[in-house]
Amino acid sequence: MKKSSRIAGIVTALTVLFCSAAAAENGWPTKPITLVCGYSAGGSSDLGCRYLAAALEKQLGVPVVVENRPGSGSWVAWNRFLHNTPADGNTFALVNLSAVFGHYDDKTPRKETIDDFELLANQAIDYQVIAIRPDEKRFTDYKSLLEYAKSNELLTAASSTGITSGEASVARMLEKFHGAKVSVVPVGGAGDANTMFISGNIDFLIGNVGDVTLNPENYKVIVLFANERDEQLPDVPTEKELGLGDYVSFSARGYAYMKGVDPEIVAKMTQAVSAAIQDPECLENMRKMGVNVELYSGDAYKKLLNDQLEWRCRIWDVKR
Amino acid sequence: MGALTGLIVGTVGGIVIGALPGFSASMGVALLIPITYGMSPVAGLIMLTAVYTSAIYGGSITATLCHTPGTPASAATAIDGYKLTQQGRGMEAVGVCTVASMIGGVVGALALLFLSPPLGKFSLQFSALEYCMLAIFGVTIIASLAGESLYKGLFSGILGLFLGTVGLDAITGTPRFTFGSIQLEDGIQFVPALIGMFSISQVMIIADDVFKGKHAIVDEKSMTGRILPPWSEFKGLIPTIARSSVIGTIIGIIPTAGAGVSSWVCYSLGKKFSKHPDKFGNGSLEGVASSEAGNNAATGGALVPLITLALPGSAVAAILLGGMLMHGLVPGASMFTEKAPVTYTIIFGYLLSNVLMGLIGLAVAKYVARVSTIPMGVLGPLVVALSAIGTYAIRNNMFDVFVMLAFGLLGYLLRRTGFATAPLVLGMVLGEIVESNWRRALIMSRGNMFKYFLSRPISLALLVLIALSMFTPVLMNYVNKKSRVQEKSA
Repeated sequence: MKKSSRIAGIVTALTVLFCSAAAAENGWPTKPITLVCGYSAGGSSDLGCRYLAAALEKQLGVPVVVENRPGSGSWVAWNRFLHNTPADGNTFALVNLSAVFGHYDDKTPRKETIDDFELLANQAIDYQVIAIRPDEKRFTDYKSLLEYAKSNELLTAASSTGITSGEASVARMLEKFHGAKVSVVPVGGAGDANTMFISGNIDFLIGNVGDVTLNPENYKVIVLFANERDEQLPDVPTEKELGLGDYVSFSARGYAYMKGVDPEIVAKMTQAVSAAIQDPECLENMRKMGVNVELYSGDAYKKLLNDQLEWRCRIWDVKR
Repeated sequence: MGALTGLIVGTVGGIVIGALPGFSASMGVALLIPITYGMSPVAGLIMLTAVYTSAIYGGSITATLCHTPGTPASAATAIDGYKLTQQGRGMEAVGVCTVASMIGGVVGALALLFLSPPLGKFSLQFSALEYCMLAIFGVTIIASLAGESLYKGLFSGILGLFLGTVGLDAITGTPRFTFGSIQLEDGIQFVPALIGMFSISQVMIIADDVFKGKHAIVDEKSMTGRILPPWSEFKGLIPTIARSSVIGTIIGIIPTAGAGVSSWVCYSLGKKFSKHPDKFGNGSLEGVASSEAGNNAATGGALVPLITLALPGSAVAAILLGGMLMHGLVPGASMFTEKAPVTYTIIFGYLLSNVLMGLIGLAVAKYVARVSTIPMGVLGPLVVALSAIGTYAIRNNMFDVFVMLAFGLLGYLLRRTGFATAPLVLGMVLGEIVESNWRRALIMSRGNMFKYFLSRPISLALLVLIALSMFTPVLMNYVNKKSRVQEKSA
């Protein structure tokens, strides 16, 4: 047994060596690169992919094509990408927290975990906030909202349920850590949650920085769930600053290969995608859409997602 | 200059995209967004909104001429439009469809131009309970679409409601009837199902006809040469068009409803108010006019909450929001203060695109109506090919093409055995809206639904409307019988 595993080890090492040598010889990339986007054309995820693709072409010198395969919150795309696409480095995909947290969802658990993806780089992070209406009288800040919610049930909305949803996780955190009574109305998307908030059908909004900075006159943001304050909301304290906890919650999207791609190609691609994310034109376009760009690559990216996963598992009482 | 180019390209492109089965308005807008990168914000947005409205119109042309609605909003038009085509009045049907679309679109655009801020506030009065009530009102329409047998119509409707439950439960996220298939988690995709129901089943019926020796939908000889009906007949359509335009605009403003629901509601109301309700379903110009004014008016309405409140109420509006942000236009109150000149130019461009769409439609009606004289052996394969391509292109997904084929077969069997397909389609669309919003309303009522109802006057009004719509025919029958009995005994 020992011997054969050693032989296997040598064979693997040789294969890796040979493959990487071949890759270097062939001078990857030689073919057009496909970027799989599991969301429909025209949405914000898709636009982010298209800006990145344009910048990545400059880095790699080959065309980068965005392929939209929407369905089941991108799982149709990820399934095909992970199990039915050659790991030759010519196809990479948009990934977000659903890709890495879906495994721990209690309603529709996915087989795949964070270990099935070869994470390249993170492009965008949008932290969660709590906002109240500017004319709200019952509570005026985070502390008084928590106090009020201990004896009065409050309504909020979330665009999906469970561990993959940043909003639903914040609501659950309020109950678990602060003893607040919160009912969540599940809605179709962030837009619907905003409609309900502005029209007074829910008591407070759990949203992203991007949602509340679009038309700031409609929102009084009372807390930010991040490690430090946000440039776009300089007056909003973090939960940690308020001394009420240290919860951090965000939505994020970046790019990944499937496992099994030649390490040399992975290194090259990580470098190229990172450079494309920081491309001035790409940055400007993301800024116009109100998206906060934060680059994390390789191990730092993996740590970012693992840390957030740890928080979510704690909140939802899930064992990893 | 750029704005003018945007207007023309958007309108013509929109009509063509809309006319192709499977290529919906949302796809047209999404496809053109990258092209607007290099354009000025005004030109880019005029082009996108022009595509939106003209795609909804374009879809009705093919719905009328070959029973293949290009977009879901045109399905209601297919019912009467195609009957008219079979009667050789295809050109007239296209003409009425064009005029009604144009007027509906212009009314929607005028509402957008003059009443946006107050209408935006009005849209906020609607929430889960109101969406639910509106959709239940839509479900009551099923009876009026039933066709030859009420019971068969109800069966189709219930089958549609059932098929609408497939997929992840919108409230808890639990999979229902997905049989472990990831492809079914989003539910049965509506557009592929619709194309199957209407277009593919139609081709199968055409194939039957070819066997029976019929070679075109109509002979060239039996076609009437008029583009518009005589004035005496057209006069009668004016109240229908006016009513549908106003109702369509209001329905468009309400988030989640949109052009699809609007066309069905306007069609059914058209039947209720008509002096000749028996003609509906058998080739009624009024039927075509009511659904067509309704769906194009709704596109203008749908832009109201988007521009005033940055709240997109439909899939197309959500894509348009992306387009606006890309051009540095942040929807919201500032659109009517600081950025008023830009906003009004865009809205005016949208108004013009509706007029231009009508003029183009009238100019080409004569030629496009000849589609109905194309030999069936050519038309059938063409429709199947375009439907398959269009269906695949929506999500780059072969599964959707299989859904289309399965629904084609189901549609064929239903139609051959006398079951109407329209109630099924309506049930599929509305079932999800009714269920998820009712359950949302239950959460929002905090356990006291009765009190919650009383606090929402619009829901109460809609409830009364539903009751009236359900029981008026029964009461009328009763009253009529009674008066007849009295006449006899007297």
